[in-house]
Amino acid sequence: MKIDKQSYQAIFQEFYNMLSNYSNTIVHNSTDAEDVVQEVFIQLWNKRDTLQIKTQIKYYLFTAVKNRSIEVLRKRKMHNKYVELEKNVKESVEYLGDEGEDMVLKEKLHKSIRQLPPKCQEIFVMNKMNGLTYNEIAESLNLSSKTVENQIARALKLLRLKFK
Amino acid sequence: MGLLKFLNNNRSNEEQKLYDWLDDTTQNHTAIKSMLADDSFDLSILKDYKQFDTKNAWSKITSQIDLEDTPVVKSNFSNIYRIAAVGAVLLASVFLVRNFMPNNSGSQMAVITATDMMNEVTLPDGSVVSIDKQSAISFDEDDFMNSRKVELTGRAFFEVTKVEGKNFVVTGNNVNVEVLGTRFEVNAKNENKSVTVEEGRVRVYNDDTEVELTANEKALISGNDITQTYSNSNNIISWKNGTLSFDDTNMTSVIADLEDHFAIDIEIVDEASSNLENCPFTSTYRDEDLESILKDFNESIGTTYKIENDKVYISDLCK
Repeated sequence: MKIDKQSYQAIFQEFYNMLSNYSNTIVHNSTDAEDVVQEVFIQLWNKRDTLQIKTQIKYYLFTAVKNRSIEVLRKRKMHNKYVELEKNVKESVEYLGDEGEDMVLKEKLHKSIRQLPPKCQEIFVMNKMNGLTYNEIAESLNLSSKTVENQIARALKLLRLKFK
Repeated sequence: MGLLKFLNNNRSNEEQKLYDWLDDTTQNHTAIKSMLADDSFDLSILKDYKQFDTKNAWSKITSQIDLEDTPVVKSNFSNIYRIAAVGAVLLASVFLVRNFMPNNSGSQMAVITATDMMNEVTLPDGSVVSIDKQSAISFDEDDFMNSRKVELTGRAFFEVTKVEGKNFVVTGNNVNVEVLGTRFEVNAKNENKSVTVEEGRVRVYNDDTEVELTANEKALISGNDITQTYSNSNNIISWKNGTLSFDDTNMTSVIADLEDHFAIDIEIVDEASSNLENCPFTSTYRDEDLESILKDFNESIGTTYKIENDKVYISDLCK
């Protein structure tokens, strides 16, 4: 597999957000998470000629991000379950693991919600993500609960249209 | 045509491996579909999921590496280029400024204004609008499915979902565009108003005139006149995909495209500017900022530039 300028950027665009989210689940700090992912991408470019990526690129990326995230934890001298996990991390595994697969799915879902009409999105997120009831949403946005119900139905319809 | 299908149709076997990661999306697609099938599903899994600033991260990274290090593989260039462009559009971050203001009939008007980046918005009927910087669309929230009417200030690119028997209408600045289902750009800025069609068929009209356009045709609107022409610039939707491409383009058009793309004034300082028309330029820039393009000019055609008070001054151009 050959990485050039164009494919490098395409890979970056596709994976940056989900990898940052992935790292964030380990380091629990957005700035550190982004630093980790940026380092991994810089490494990917600088070593593109010598890197042996035999599997899909995403396995490499997720593994590299995981390793570096654990490195961050170690530097913070934190001892939690992820440090223990480190023993099991190998270079370029053939599977993503549940957390990795989860991130790919979450990114796809999250992206489609980001593209909903703004008001519809706001109401949908309040209900489905934050667990507010129709009445609570109606009250805080000064709308009738019928409108709230309609907007949620609309969000669902648009999402289903996207994933039909 | 979907992204996957597009990719599958356009890549060679050698490229296959590189883009394998895109195929995964079909599995996730199915998973999300079955999740959405139940009205009462729960999105709390996304509670801690964030949207990071990908654009900012990219400029941070490109400041630390040398992307020009490898020669571009010529034969695959255009395909990969297009794929990258598609990816970038899909991932464009959405920053919206929202205002809800009552219109005369008292119903809710949604006003969506593009801010820092190009914005992609899905309308209630599933149509997707990419709104350019300093542009805005508004539509009647309650009546949209019935009227399918959008008002535009500035410039936007539309991908309209087909709804049988229900035309989609864009109005703005004395231009009306009516369509069934298609992809087209409307530029309703004050000067150089235009409609450019990428796919499908649209009707452009005002009180006096009417023209019908199909793919790669363009209507120029000036006052009450509508002139039908062909779109031959490569950069009609440069603001949408971030790519500026010049192919033996005369310098006058190059400067105009740059001014348009970066919304900035450019002044040619030297006296020999009459040469610009006979001064062809060829290059492609993808998601580059203005300064790196100007620096490239310096290196490739020996210009110098300075930026003062949001205005660019270029010297030694086409000497």
